[in-house]
Amino acid sequence: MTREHEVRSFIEQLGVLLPDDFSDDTELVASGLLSSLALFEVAVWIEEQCNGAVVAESVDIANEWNTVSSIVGFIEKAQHDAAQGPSD
Amino acid sequence: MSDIAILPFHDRFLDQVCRVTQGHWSPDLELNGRYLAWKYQANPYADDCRLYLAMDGAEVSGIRGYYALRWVLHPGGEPTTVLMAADLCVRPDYRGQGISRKLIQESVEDLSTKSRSPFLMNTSAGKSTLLEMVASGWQSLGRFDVSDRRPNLTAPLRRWAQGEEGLESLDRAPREPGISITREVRPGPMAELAGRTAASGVRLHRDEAYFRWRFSNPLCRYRFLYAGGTDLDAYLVVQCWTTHDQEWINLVDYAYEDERPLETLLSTLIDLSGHRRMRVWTPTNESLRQVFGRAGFQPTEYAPGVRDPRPALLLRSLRSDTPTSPQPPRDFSLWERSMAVSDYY
Repeated sequence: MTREHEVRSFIEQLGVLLPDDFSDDTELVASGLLSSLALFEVAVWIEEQCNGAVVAESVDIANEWNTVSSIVGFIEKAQHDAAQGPSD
Repeated sequence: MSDIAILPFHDRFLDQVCRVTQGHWSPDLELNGRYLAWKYQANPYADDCRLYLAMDGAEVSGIRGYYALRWVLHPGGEPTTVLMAADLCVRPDYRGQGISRKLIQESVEDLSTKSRSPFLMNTSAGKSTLLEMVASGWQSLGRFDVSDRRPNLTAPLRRWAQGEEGLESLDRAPREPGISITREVRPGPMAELAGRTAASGVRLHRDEAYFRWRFSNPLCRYRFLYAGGTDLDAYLVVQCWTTHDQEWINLVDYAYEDERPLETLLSTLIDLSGHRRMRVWTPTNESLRQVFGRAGFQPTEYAPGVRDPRPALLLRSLRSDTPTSPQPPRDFSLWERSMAVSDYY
């Protein structure tokens, strides 16, 4: 299962009804597809995938978490940054 | 969802609003009506207050409120009326449809043309609302740290033996001379002391009109601890909710000429109610933090990240393109930390 499928599967588990033409680039936040509660659950899930606390206020949610593709990009960047270790 | 319209509040929808807010304010419809009247209509700056309804035909499916407070944003500056976002609430059978986002966004759009306030503020968003607001363009300046005072293990037994509810333990005469505890706010002396001792940072403006209104919140009960005579040396306002978490006493507001009378008020509070859990927002002033530390208050541990339960200070500019509009400092260390800035208390 690809990372994109994992994101999509998690969103569906939340009971979010995805449109027939849903794709990895469909807007989740700006379109209102994710409700407040669903957005919170997605944020918790992203945090778990990143293996560390995510300070949501420092995230540009409307862009960085707005599509399946951007969420995957966010997680992969966070994992990459964590693997690199803290920088001076 | 596409049929939901965001409209201003009208009295004919009062009953519905009181029902929509049953899980948010209280289960008591009459109490909710009084809370709405207090917060939005009896507010000393009521002309600026706004309440928006999400309407599905004639049905109220959600609300979003903006009540007003006055803030001093810069040292020596004049108080500015600021709208405080509050009460984002969606009826349970309408949740999961994006109505809260629509309420957040369309109310801001409306206020950007109608409000005299140059920016909006929020201090009481829950975890999911905070995310929603950040996603809608609100900026978090930081989190308010919390300090708790937890009694020893025999305290529950003592509470049970005394049979006291909420703040009743404070309805006894204090031992210290010059100290009084009442259920009555003293707007004149409190405003005078607050004005005389105001800190230099970004702070709530407390005048007599503010004090006459602020502690009439019908969802809360308050007690007022005073040190001094006609001219106060210190005051401390403590609060308890009427509908939930009644074991907690929150230290909502305080002012003092110097630290000694405040310490006396704290020791009086603990002498009479030390068997109760207490909470205060941790001040930035190191000396004052030590005063609370000596009284047994310890910083609260919290989960970092998305689940962080600490209240945040959120801002949203309405007219950033007009340089004459007073804009608040972005440095959170300059901001007042009393619970009085939150409608939750």
